[in-house]
Amino acid sequence: MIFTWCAAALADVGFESPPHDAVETVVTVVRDGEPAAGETVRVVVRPGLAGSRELAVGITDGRGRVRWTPEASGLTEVRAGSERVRVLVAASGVPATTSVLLTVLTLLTLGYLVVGFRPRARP
Amino acid sequence: MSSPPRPVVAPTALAAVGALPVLCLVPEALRAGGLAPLFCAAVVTGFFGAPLALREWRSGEERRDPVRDALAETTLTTWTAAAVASLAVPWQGGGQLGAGAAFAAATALGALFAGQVLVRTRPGRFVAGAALGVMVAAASWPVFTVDATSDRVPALPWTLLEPHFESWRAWAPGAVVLGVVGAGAASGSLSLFRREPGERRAPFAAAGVGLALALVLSVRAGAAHAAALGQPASDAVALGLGAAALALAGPVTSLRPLFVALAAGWLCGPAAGALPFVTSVVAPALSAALCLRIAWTSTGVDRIPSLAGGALLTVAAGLGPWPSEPSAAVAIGGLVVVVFWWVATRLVTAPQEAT
Repeated sequence: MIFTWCAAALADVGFESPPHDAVETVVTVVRDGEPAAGETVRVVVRPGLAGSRELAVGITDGRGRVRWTPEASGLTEVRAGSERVRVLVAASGVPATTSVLLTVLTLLTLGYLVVGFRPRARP
Repeated sequence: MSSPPRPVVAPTALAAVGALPVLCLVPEALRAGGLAPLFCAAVVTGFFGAPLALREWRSGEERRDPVRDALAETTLTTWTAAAVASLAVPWQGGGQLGAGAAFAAATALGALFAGQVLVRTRPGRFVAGAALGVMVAAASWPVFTVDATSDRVPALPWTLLEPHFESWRAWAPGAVVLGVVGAGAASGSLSLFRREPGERRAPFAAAGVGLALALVLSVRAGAAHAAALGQPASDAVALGLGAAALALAGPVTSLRPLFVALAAGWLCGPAAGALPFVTSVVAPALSAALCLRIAWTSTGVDRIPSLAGGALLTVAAGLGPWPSEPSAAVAIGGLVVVVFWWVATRLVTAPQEAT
């Protein structure tokens, strides 16, 4: 059974299961109630943001289906012909670089706060 | 050896004011490079912005300069108005004068009221710290419950927070401005706040609180971005923090809240197209002028940090986006006239207000 998910519910692009990082799913393209065969499917990772990149997924088969294994988590736009559907690819964990920077920034914040608000002893 | 009485109201107020550029610049910086520009700004703050502000904080009380005070007043007013307008634009839909003016007027009234309460009660360290904690907690608590078009999507904020250092050309000027100004170089020690004993590290307090708010707002913005599937989402908490910062933005006996309200109404109403220019060029240019004025009046090696800060801000302002529409150019022309008039009048009134 095809599971149509979140924002794609009213669109012509559906997913067999909610997209998950490094887990294969099936993209289904429907036109006027009929499967759209031979449709080129592409995805844009981080649409509209720095580091945005477009990747080809494949061409739909006779049942309007194409297999897709997301390479990265996060906001992704799936394009099939003129259809554009945005989905959130679930992450398996916090991205490493993001967690490192968050930790460093938190430590910097604590350091500035300690220096700024620490009572100063009178000499 | 004993610790002297330590007023906390002024450092807290400075911290809130230091957060204004943060509130102003964070949303666009996130889109341009995720956490990378915030990291760059935090490093610039620690190694340059805060020490510069600290030096001026120590020496500023000894020599009063009416031109410096006028520039500081104008810079602070411009940053405040730009921050309030930036926060108000998503709420009033852009281009609607009535809604923008109503928001700005309500914020100014709130600022006057809160400022009066704070000044009259003069809360101690624990009360001010508790107020600060409540402010940050209020911003942190509903991190994953921001407004969204779909409530079925898990709002993990990582898409917007993912750092992208390779796109440095897009965010470096803003990050440098954030690092130099947000620490208090123009909004803290160089403003007209009264210096008191025990506040010598206030610029670092401003940097710390500004960075804390920036982190919280970044995570919130990331969650909103993911939950709304990339569509713009208004953030009531950011709006509230902006109003709270404005409430602490200066002497309540001055007319600053009124001018901030008028300027913010102008910038989020008819002159909404000019807002990016004000944020990226006008406010940094005013901050640069302030730093250069300090360098001009300093002697010896004392002028080096201010000169470097002025040069950095001048370069950043020069790299900012210039208006491409006639309406934006007209709006900016009107703003320049107001700023000129404001500086000229402050040259007369600033010394009296500062005492």
